[in-house]
Amino acid sequence: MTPSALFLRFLPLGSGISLFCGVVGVAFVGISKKISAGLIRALGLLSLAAAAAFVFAQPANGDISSLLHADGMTKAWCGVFYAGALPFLLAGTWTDEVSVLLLLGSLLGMTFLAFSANLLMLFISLELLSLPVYLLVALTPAQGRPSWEAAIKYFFAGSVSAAFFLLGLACHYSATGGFAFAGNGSFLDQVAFSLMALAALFKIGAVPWHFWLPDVYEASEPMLSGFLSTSVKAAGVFLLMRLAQYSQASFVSLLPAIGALTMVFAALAALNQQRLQRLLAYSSLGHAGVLVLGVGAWALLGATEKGALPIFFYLFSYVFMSNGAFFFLELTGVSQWSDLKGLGKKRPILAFCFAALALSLAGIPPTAGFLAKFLIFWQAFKAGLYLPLIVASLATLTALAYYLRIVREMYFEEGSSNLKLEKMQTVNLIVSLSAAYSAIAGFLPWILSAFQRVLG
Amino acid sequence: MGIPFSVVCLFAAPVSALLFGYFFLLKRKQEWMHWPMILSCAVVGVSAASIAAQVYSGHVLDVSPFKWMPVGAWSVSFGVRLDGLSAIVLSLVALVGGLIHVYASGYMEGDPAFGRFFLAFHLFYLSMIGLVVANNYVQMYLFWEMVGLSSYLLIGFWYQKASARRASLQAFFTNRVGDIGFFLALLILMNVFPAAHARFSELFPMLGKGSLAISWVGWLLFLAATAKSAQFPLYFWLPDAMEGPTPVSALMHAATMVTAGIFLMARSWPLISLAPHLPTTIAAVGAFTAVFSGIIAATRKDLKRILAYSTVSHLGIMAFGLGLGEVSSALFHLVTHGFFKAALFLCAGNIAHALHKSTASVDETGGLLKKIPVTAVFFTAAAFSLSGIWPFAGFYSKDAILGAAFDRGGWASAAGFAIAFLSAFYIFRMLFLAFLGPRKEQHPPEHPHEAGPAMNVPLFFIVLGAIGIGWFSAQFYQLASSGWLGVSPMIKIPGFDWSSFIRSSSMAGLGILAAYLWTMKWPSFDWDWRRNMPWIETIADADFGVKPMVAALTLLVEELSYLLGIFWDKKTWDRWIENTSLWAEDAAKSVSSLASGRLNDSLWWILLGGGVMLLRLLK
Amino acid sequence: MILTLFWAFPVIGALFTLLAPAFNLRARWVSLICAAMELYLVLQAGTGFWGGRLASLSEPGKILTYGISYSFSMDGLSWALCLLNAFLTVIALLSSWKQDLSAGFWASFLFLEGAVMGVFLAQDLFFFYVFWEAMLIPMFFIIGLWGSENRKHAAIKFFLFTFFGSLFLLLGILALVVFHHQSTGVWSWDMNILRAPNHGLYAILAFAAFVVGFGVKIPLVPIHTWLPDAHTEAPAAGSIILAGVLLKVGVYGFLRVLLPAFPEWGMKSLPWLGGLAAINVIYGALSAMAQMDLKRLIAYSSIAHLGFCVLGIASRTAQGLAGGSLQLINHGLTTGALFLMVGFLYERTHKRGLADFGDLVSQAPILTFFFGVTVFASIGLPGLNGFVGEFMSLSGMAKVSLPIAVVGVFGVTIAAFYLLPAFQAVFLGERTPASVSSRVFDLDFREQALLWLLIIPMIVIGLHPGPLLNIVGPAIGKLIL
Repeated sequence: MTPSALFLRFLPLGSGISLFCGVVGVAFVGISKKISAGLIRALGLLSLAAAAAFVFAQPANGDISSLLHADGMTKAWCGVFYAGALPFLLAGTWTDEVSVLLLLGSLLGMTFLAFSANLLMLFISLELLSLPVYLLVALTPAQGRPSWEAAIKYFFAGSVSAAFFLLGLACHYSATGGFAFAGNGSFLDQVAFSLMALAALFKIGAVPWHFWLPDVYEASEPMLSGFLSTSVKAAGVFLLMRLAQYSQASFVSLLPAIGALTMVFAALAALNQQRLQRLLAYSSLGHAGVLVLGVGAWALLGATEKGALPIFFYLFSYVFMSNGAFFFLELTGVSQWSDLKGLGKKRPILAFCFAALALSLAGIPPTAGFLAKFLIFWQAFKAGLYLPLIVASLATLTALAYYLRIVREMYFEEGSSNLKLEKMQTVNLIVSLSAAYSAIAGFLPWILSAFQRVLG
Repeated sequence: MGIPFSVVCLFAAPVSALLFGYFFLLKRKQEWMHWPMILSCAVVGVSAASIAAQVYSGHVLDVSPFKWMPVGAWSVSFGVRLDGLSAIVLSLVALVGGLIHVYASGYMEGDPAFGRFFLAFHLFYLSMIGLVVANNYVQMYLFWEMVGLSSYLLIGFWYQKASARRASLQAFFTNRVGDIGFFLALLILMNVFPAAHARFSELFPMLGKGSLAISWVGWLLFLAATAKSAQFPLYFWLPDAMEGPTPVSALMHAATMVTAGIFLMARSWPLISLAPHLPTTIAAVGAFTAVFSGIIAATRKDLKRILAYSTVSHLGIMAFGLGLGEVSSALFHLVTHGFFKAALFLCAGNIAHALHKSTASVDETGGLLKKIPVTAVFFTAAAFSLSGIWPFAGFYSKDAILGAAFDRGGWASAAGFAIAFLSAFYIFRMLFLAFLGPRKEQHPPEHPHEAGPAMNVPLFFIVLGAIGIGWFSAQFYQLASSGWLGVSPMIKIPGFDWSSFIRSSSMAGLGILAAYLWTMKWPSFDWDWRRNMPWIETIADADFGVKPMVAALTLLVEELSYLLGIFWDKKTWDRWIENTSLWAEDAAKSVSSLASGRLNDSLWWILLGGGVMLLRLLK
Repeated sequence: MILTLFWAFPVIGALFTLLAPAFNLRARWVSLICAAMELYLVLQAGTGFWGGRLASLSEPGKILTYGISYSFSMDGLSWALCLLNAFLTVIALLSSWKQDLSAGFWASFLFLEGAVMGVFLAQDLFFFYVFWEAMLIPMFFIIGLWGSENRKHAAIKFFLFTFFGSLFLLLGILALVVFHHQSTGVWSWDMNILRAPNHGLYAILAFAAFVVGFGVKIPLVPIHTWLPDAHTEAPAAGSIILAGVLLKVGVYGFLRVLLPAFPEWGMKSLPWLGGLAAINVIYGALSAMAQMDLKRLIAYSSIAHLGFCVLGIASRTAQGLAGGSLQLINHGLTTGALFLMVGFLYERTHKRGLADFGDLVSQAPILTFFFGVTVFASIGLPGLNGFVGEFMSLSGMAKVSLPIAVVGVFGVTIAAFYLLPAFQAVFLGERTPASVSSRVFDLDFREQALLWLLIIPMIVIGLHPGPLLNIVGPAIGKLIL
């Protein structure tokens, strides 16, 4: 094998390798104890950039090996994973190198998830991406409160999920005699796929497997919650999509109902939350509901790669919206409703950003959230999911109530909040950019064609 | 087709006078406001005269030069139709209206709102001109409504008085109720005869007999006329409308505005006469109105109110005549009534002016003959005319109608007798009470002053008309029938006829006699019966129950609107909608209580969800 | 590009206005100049429409992803409504001229103007919907930030309630697009192409969704209760735009989207729509009669007046459609003027109850004159604009269903029953402390000029609506049965 052929052979693995190198590099650098946080961050960024470059330099889609496989969705989702992690990496208030290490490790797992060519690989990468996240939650608490409880809850949920997946995998193996995605449609195989889908739904946090989600998101540092609600959730969605793509199991027909139910539950539960971070957690749950609904519609419409555009676009936009909102909390230290009062007068630009993000999360035109939700709804309509759509619409309406309350508190109420407003240029920039994207992307359906190109 | 200069003047003069008055005089020199108006009246008068002469010689003008609402084949235009009908009423309006303008410039002198008065007054004048020369129903409706608007402005002229505000609203509302009829008639006409574009000259030849739509239109137009011309039961606004200054009463509620309804019916006669039972109904309603309000007029104490009810009564007579088919006689009565009623109102105005009040009750008068003799003479002449005494003008027109009624026999002739008696009775009762005496209950002013020439000169000319206009009935008929659009020709105004003369004059004489006995033989009778039998007055004050009914109806509508607008819309329906947010909060609470945070509960949920998913496999 | 400019220019202007304080410029001047330039732009574009020389002005659409195309077009109807929008925005800005307001206020109106322009011009349902919803945001801020006491509640209610309707609209649009795709296999969002199938339950449901979606904005009874609160609590300028322009988009949607897209159902439902409109007319009028707050009263009168628009449109006759469209403009002018004047009163006294005033004429005769004229225009006095629209609408409806037209005529009558007593109570009537306070003074030059600007069109349209009808006519011609 010539070197160039070798290179070409390993090129698809490049992203994984660069992330792995990043992990190792950070670990080694961390040992010396003399290196500044800046270098660690730079290393992390470098490996992330390299990984992204490798993903998008990927020449052709198809099987790489018996374990790895690349297609349009792989690229797209890797993009989402990296984009979701980027803000956290950029602006995280690190205390040591461990967090970066964990983050990169989790991203490594996600990358493999996206490249998985069979169910076993899928399971392994799922575990690989989850374990560092449990630790991250434990190590990065919100406002100094210990988050072991949340971490344990999360870990518990993850274990149950993994158990279900393993059980499903076992059933699948006994039904088909292998780990290939494609099932044979036997009853046992259907049970297998249902169990695995259960695991995915667990990961996403769909109702009624959601109980861990608000606690975890609330207990973590807001910036970490941003990562959890974007990249990690995207991983769960990817898992669900892969399963739906290959199975003939009937769980697909349940997905719209689960999605709509999740939206309703999230919208209602968020209504009387007092702490904003928990509110955003429920908001994230609501968006998970839209995604599950979208996956259901996508699967019913034939689960084509091209058809994944609405979900991809939704996730991508959600990366901005969610990170922006959580980072806003980080930036201002706002935790209660009353902290928001009078912000519109005091910090007009910040308030404008948060208002734009809130309206985008609510899905009001011309925001990005609108276009994303619009596409999903359209897909659902195309798939004939009328009842779930109506329920989802009502849930959107209900959710709008608390998003509007955010705007109302900031602009309509008088108040003198004592915000910390530290000098965090990066966070500030992230919030502003996210808000800018969220505010206008809905008016630019042009960009969809770019997304389409990624999907191939 | 060219439009003659005189026709242009009809509109151009009043409009420019109004604009000039509003923009230049109102702020700076409002005491000059009457000049442009009187000038415009003069121009209109001359134009009207020349138009009347043209029409008299048989030249009828009917042009539609402007499109108003053009939408393809459906369109409404602006135009004028100058035929006998319009020429007559136009001349009446121009002449009497112009004279009342002059009178008003004296009457209203020194009023702080002198400028506003003349603006509204002239606007009314303009609307009335537009109404009579319109050549289609929609355009007629425009001016019909503007007449309503200007009457609203003028009745409520002294808006500081609550009663004036109330009366102006009542007048507008009642007319508005009648307008439902007009509006609906328009809608039917525009849709059933789209090719006619509601134009008289094209519409009337199209009418076939007995079509349902036509009879609907006829009835609806009658409804409109009922309100505007104060026929029972929509008459009640007119007596209350005496809250305005006296020239207003003279112009609008005697000589011209209320005649708009009669004019409408005369105009639509070719149509109305085709509707089964409608003419008879009109006659019956008119007769009833005439008798009914005649009785009430006989019990009133306020001078202007007596005249107002008398107007209602005479409008009833006109409708009576119309219903009997005597279009020309009814029109003729419209004209003579315009003169003598204007004269009577202006005399009442003279009295009020002398008393420095806006209106006068019989309690404050008595023995005025010696104090303001000129007014007394004018009043007497007009009263004779109203009673239909030969050879005053009222005789010729009224006798023609009564003659037709006597010919009809039955209820019509009974009504004819009653009318002849009642009108003579109430007007002479008023005359005797006001000008003779004084009786011990009356407290006339010590030194009232006769009105100045600005008021009495125009009054003199009006009285002249009230005396002599009746002598020209033949010429009148020729003018009226010029350009008549009816299927059958207009019925001629009968000449002097002994039998009807004897019957009506004897009844009128009886009426005068009764009035004499009532007021002169027993001078205190008018006060005595009020003291001794107050219930009669209560009933009469309530117009035999019409007023309470109207009040109850008003209250009903108000309650209904409260029920709908506040109780239902705001307090029930909207509250229900707003409560959905409370329900959402309740739901939110119960949903939150599910999330207990205990691992145990979560496990149950997990199992439940997983169970459902697996059960789904079984289908 | 000129059509893009129509909506983009005010939006850019709004951004400039927001930034103006940073450059030491007066935000109100920046906003006014932008609004005036926009008005000039619209007028300029309209020269082609006069005399019916130009049927429409359109830009070739550019197909984007999923058949969504960026295409705009302007015909006589759109132009007239755009003109109304541009004109009333100028009026609204000037109406609050003397108040001390932040840059956001002035910018909001330009944003709003841009969004409404987009609604009137968009040919693609996606963009239509985006603009439709985008209107909510500036209005939400206008009510919530600069409204009166109960503004926060009213703003939230406005947003949620109308968003509720928009969800139905969205479902309807999706249905239409999916129907089209099912029958042709092509994705298109172009409202000129999309047609629903003639039968089937889903077609009915989609139709109903559109009726609800547009009906909330009109508003149709019983989904109208956001309107009285929103109108009452909004600042005067906001009420002018809300009543003058925002209510129009619902009817515009009926004309542009609903009726063409559902040829079959659009026909079958005519009596139903007409009936709903008649209910609107009576319900709004009767409810208005019971109101003791001037702005609330005018708000309910809007419900009644918009009923006439729908009545005319539901007839689908030449005169009905023309009358309904004309009534849109008329209502914008008269109700705009009424809110403007109530705003002047509120600015002076901070009161707006009927019982708070009386005998204002002695302090403010000019205001009384203007109010009187406007009230009569609103009542539908012939010679002023209200009558023309109402008569034509009802005449059209009479051709289709006489009973409904009769109900409408009763509505015309009742209009006098609530507006005139209110006029009397406030301007004539007994004196009250508020009406003789030293704060009440007659209109100054700016205020008079604004009112003349509104009243002259009222008279002109009332007497000579021909040119406007000629402009609007070709646009609605294809809807005639």
